Amino acid sequence: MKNETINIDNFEAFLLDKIEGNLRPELEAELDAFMAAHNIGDVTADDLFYINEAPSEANVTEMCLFSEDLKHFEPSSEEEMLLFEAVEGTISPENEIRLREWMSRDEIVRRHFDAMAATKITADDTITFPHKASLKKSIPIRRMLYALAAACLIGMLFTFGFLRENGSLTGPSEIASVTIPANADPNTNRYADQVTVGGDTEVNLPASRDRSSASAGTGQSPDPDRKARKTAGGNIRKMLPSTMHEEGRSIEEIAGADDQQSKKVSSDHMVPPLPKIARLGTSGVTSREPVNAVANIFQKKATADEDMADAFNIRETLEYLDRKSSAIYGFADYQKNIIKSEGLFGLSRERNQEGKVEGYALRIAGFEISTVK
Amino acid sequence: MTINEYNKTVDMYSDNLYRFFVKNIGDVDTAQDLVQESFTKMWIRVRDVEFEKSKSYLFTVGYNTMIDYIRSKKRRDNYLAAQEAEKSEEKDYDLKGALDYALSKLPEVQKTVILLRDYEGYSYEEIGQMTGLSDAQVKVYLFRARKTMKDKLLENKTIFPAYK
Repeated sequence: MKNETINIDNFEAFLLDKIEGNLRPELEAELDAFMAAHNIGDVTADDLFYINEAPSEANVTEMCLFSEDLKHFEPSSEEEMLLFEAVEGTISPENEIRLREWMSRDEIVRRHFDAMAATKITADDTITFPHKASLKKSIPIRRMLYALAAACLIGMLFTFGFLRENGSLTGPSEIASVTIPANADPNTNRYADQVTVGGDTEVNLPASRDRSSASAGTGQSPDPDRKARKTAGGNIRKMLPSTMHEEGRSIEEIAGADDQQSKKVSSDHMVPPLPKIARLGTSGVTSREPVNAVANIFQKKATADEDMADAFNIRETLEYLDRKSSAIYGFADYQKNIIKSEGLFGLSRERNQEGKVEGYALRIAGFEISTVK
Repeated sequence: MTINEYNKTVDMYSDNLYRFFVKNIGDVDTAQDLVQESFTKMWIRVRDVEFEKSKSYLFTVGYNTMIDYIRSKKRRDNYLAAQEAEKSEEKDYDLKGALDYALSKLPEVQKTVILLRDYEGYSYEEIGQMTGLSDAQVKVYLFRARKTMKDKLLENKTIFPAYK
């Protein structure tokens, strides 16, 4: 510090010499003048920090806290791992107790724990993918076409089968025959609901016959229509020629009488013969054009007896059509409910109890086709 | 997986996957492209993927797609340049902003691991299956990620004023 002028850059070195007693008196006076000129307060030895006075281990934490230089404090790797495991929830109970005690007496550790816990991020629900619809897939049109074709085919088969069953596909001149059971009552009204159309498609007509058969043992007659038919049959028998309802007569005898009666009517009234509604043959009653029976009522009949017989057949036919339409309506309603609940079209895997796929099921309009055995 | 199950997967997990990409890549448009690509890859294998494992499959495909994207972007040097530019963008954030910033500074693998862990709640084992890492590696990466983020947070004077 010889031959130097005291300035703002080096005055601290002179100040240090002064405090340590190494500064010459003339320089000391110059330093005091400089410090006074620059408004620098008096500095004593107490203001200095001696780095050779190492702090004890006990007061490191305290020093860090109050020095606000805490970022220089780093927990050890083991302590960091404890903090990490505590945040992750994988810390052992013993270590958790250690950590809690540690945090309770050490503010820095607690702060580090808080910072570590803050790294646990949560999903931001406001971030949503905007084009979800573009990711979705619809059933391919080609597959839909196959499904529609299958549905049409099934519908056609169903309709065709129904028409065949209903007799609409049989020609109007087809002969319908009624088979008479061997022990049957020869009254014609007993056979009106046992018609075989076209000879090979059997129409299962009313359940009333079955019910009446079932209740025969108890002597009850639960079907009111049956009673009405019996009453009507009785009236018809009264109006028919006596040859047609005599008890104990054979079918052949009745048939012969019927033919004679027809001939008699034709010759007496000179009316061209109408298509026969029913004719008794060797094997039973043969009925012509039963589906056109409704139209026959508009034709002029030869006798009142034939009118009554026709009317009875009409009633039977109407009852039959009514039951048939009810059955069709019920079936259609049932299918509609299935479609409502399951949809028009569906393709699904069939699994067994073990969850293995056994096959596939195609469901169209309530009808299901499955590949499962 | 049927078409209906695939569509359910879209409804249930597309948002999660999108968030995963947004946080990893930081670019909304790229994240949308990656979601589309991931679901396209899943659709190609839709017959082989079981619905119960669709989320795991989706995130595995998504992670690989993202890594491919990052690698290709790195080859063009754009990705690194963007990262360098971002380094100077340190601001005074709130906690969420500071977390996002700290997250963006993590290496890709650490970022992926911590997002799968915190966002989706996957175990170390599941994360390992998706990323091709062992359980121990997943834990180490997760530890490093949390420690790095913690140190970043401690540097933030606004959030932790006692720390410089």
